[in-house]
Amino acid sequence: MTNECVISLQRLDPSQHGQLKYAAAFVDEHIEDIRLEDGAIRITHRSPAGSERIADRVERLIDRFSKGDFGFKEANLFEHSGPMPYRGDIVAELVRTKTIKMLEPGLFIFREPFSSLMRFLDWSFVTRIAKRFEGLGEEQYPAVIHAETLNKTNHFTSFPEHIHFLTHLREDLDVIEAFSQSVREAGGWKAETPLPLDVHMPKPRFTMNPSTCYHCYEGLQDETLEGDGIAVTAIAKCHRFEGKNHIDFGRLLDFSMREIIFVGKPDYVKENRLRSIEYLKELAAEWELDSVIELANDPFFTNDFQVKASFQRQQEMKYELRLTIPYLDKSIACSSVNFHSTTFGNAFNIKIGKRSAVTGCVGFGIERWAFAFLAQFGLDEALWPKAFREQYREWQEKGL
Amino acid sequence: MEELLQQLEDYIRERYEIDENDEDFDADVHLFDYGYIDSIGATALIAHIEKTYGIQVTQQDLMLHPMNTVREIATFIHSKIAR
Repeated sequence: MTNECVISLQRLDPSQHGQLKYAAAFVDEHIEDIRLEDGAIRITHRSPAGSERIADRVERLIDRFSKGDFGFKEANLFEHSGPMPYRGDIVAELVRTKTIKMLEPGLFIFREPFSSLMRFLDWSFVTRIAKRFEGLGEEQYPAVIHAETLNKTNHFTSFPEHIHFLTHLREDLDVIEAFSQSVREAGGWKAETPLPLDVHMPKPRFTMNPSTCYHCYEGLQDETLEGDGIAVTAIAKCHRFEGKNHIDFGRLLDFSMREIIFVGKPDYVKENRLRSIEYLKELAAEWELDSVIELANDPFFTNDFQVKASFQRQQEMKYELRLTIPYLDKSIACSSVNFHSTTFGNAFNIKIGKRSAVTGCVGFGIERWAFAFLAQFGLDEALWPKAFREQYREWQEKGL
Repeated sequence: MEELLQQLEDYIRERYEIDENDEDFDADVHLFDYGYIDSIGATALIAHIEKTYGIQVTQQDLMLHPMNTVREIATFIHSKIAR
C-alpha cells in the first residue's frame, strides 16, 4: 500500500532544502517519490515500517542540516548570461532521436553526436585548461579502487551511501557450480531470486572508483615531491550510487570525470586553483554558456555534516561551475574547483620538503557538460555558439 | 596584544602538536591552508577562545573577520574584549 509522509521544513533554512531532499532518498529503500512543496517534504512510500519511522529519520536529517558551526557562507565568483536558444526537454529529444538510450535512471548509452561532443569537450578541457599548467603529467587510472585506499580518503565515513562495492564468487568450485546451476534452473538471472551473499561472495576488496583524483594520491603514497609541486591530469570512469536521485537531470550512476590535480606547497596549489577558475570563466564566456561559479560544499553524509560543510564554505574550499538547464529552470554543477589542504597529503604520506603536501583539483563531469550544453543549445548545430561550433568542426576535420 | 598573541601561539603549538622546529609556523601562517588545523580542530579552537577569553564567537564574526592566522585570531579576540 502506498502511503504519504509529510514533514514540515519550518526549522530548516531554505538553502538546505535541496540537500535534505537528496539525502531523504537514503532514508528507506521503500521510498517511491520525494517532493518539496509548500514548506514541507512529501514522501510517497511503501515502507512496512510506516510513515512514523520515515518521519523520525527525516527529522534526524533536518537536525544534521540545520545551521552550520561556521555559518553557510555564500559567494558568487562569476555569472554569465547566455542566449539559451533551445528551451525544450533535451532528455526527451535525445531519447526520441535515439542519441541516447536510457538503460535505467542514471545509466545511459551515448551515441553520435552526444558521444562526439563528450570527446570534444574532454579534448577542450585538456588542451584549453590542463595543458596551460607547466610540467603537466598525464595518467591513466583503473575503474576500480582498493577499499583500503578509499578508507584513507575518509570516503567510507563522508559518503558511505555512494559506494558501489565490487565482489565476485568465492574461489570455490562448489560455490561456482552451485551458483551457475541455480541460475540455469531459474531460467536465467532473476532479480527476485535470493542470493546468499555471505555464502557465495567474499567481503569486497574493491569498490568502483567514486572520484578520479584518489588514484593520483594513491600513486604518490610515501613520496617526497621536489620543487613547488606537480600538476597531473587524468580521466576516469566514476560510479556513485545515488538512489532515487538518479532520476534528476544529470545525476548519473556511471560517468566520466576529467580532473586536473595539483599536489605541492599551499601557495602552488592555491595559485593554480585560482588560475583554473580564470580558465573556466574564459571558456564559459567564449562558449556563451549561461553559467555561474559559486561557493559550494560536499554533501557529506555524516552527523558532522554541519562542521565539515560549513568549514568547507568558510574556507572557500569548493567552488562549482553550474550551468543552467533552461527547460527545468534550474542549474547543475558541471565542474568543481577544490582545495583539500593536507587531508590527502597526510592520508597518503605525501611530502613536499619536510611538510605534508597539500592538494587541490579541478573536475569536469563530461556527460553533465554535454547534457547541459545541449539543454541550452539543442541538437541543431546552427543554434550553437559560433566559437564553439568552429572549434567543434575543426576538431572533427582534424580527426583529433 | 603582544602577550595575547604569544599566549595564543603557544596554545596552538601545543594543542595541535606543532613541532618546535617547524620553520613555516609563525603568527602569520595560514593555519588551515597549511593543514595545522582542520574543521574539527577549528571547532575546538573556537570553544577554547570562548572559554578562555569569556567572549562569544558568532557566525557573523566568522563571516566578517578573517581568522586564518594566529595574528588575525588574536586581533579579533583583542577587539572583542575591548568592546
